[in-house]
Amino acid sequence: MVAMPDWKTLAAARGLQLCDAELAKLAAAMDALEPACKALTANLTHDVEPATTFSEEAVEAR
Amino acid sequence: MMTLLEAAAQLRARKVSTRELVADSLATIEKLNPQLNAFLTVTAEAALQHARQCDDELAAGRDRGPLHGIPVALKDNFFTKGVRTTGGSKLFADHVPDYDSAVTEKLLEAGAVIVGKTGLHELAYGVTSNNAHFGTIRNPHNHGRIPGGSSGGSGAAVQSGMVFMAMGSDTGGSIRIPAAYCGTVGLKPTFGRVSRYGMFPLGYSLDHAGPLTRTCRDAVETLNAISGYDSRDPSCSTRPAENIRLEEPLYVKDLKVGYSEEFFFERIDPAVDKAVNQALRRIEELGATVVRVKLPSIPAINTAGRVILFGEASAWLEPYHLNRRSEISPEVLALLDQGRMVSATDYVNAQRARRTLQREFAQVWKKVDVLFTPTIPMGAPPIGASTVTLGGVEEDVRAATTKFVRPINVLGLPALSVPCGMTADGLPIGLQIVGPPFGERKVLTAGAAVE
Repeated sequence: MVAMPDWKTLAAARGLQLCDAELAKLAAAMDALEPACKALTANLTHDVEPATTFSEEAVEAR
Repeated sequence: MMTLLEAAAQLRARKVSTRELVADSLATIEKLNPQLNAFLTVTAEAALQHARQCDDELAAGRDRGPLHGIPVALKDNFFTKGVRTTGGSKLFADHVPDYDSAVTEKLLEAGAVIVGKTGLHELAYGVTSNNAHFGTIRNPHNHGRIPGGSSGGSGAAVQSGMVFMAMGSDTGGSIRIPAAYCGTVGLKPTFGRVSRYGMFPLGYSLDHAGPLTRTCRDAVETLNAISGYDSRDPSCSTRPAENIRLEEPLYVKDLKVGYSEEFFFERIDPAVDKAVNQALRRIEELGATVVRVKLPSIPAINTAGRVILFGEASAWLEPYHLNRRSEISPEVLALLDQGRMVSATDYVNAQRARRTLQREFAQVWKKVDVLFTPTIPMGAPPIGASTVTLGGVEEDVRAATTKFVRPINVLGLPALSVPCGMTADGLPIGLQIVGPPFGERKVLTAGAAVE
């Protein structure tokens, strides 16, 4: 069972000024995403680095 | 309807001039665009002037290659110097870049004649191309249906004969979706093969640029023209550009074609199931070996893709999202709001999961050369529909449309959508062909064999 954040409080903290209907829709979408997100990362080991790339060479070449 | 390569052959045989091809293209746009709304901007005067230069060059013996003198279009998120580039958004309605995107440059170097900019889903963030600010783009097969998105204008323009090729961008399926719904070929190359310099981003680590065409061979020629290293795009591969040539006749006897019954054949229109299985049988009859394979969890890859896209899109659009909400449609605002709720931890963990899933998926290429899947589980939905029913289950149009294509962006693999049949409603069906990193030649060979 994944503990759900308080999306409405979080939305306000993130600067989103939403009406009740928008907040309800947002909370429902996030409730659906949260467990899938947590399941995704459940078996990751410490040695798995993110797949984003950064190359100093590429920056210097620009 | 003539293909790009057929037009190129006619130009060289002096049976037609670039001026005539461009004039035909502009006349078709003038006739059909009021119904389809495929083009946001038509650059008729500049195109006719460029056509004269192309004819003069050919007459003087300067031949820039297969795209020389061919009328083409760019999705309106590729920057064009001096020509409005909106990204399909009211936010950028008056944005006129002072430089060309890398793809624009390469197409002009190849002698292609740009006749205009095609419409798209707002900010390329959606699959319907039902654009709140610039109007609804319609499917040429049935004007009551969506063309798909986000490169909906490009799909409609190629399918209706307005241009021979139109460029699209693909972050979660946005080239292959309109290709499948409109009945054209759509190629998403390997991540890094084509420079994204001078394009509006959507998701930095997911964005790709590629062509929509009438045939796979037309896609080959376009890819050859636009690919290659560009230091201005930090994600562009340093791998030397490959000049792909398909064998004549096509040789597929050594090709191992994989398919997975799990996920890709669950809850799909029976006509799609039948058409993709026919394509598998067809390539087997041509001598390829067809193998059933087991794939890593596609829903997990989709989850990673959604989290990554939420974070990346909301990051670059943050100042507009927070300060100019009234200029963004409620549909796109809802996605940006979700992106703002994704934590840094979730984003980084999704990218970590992505690496694991990429490694797992790499094992597939030890067993097969390409994978066949449906591009989309069904034909194009009606304009305005928010859900579709598949196998008795109601699904969100966006989720149903993207579920087979989004994972390929997460993996960065080359993927093609090729028309492979029609639904009972007379709507096109797309076959998705996926290959290993930089395996475009294999993907396009398989596509040319079954198209």
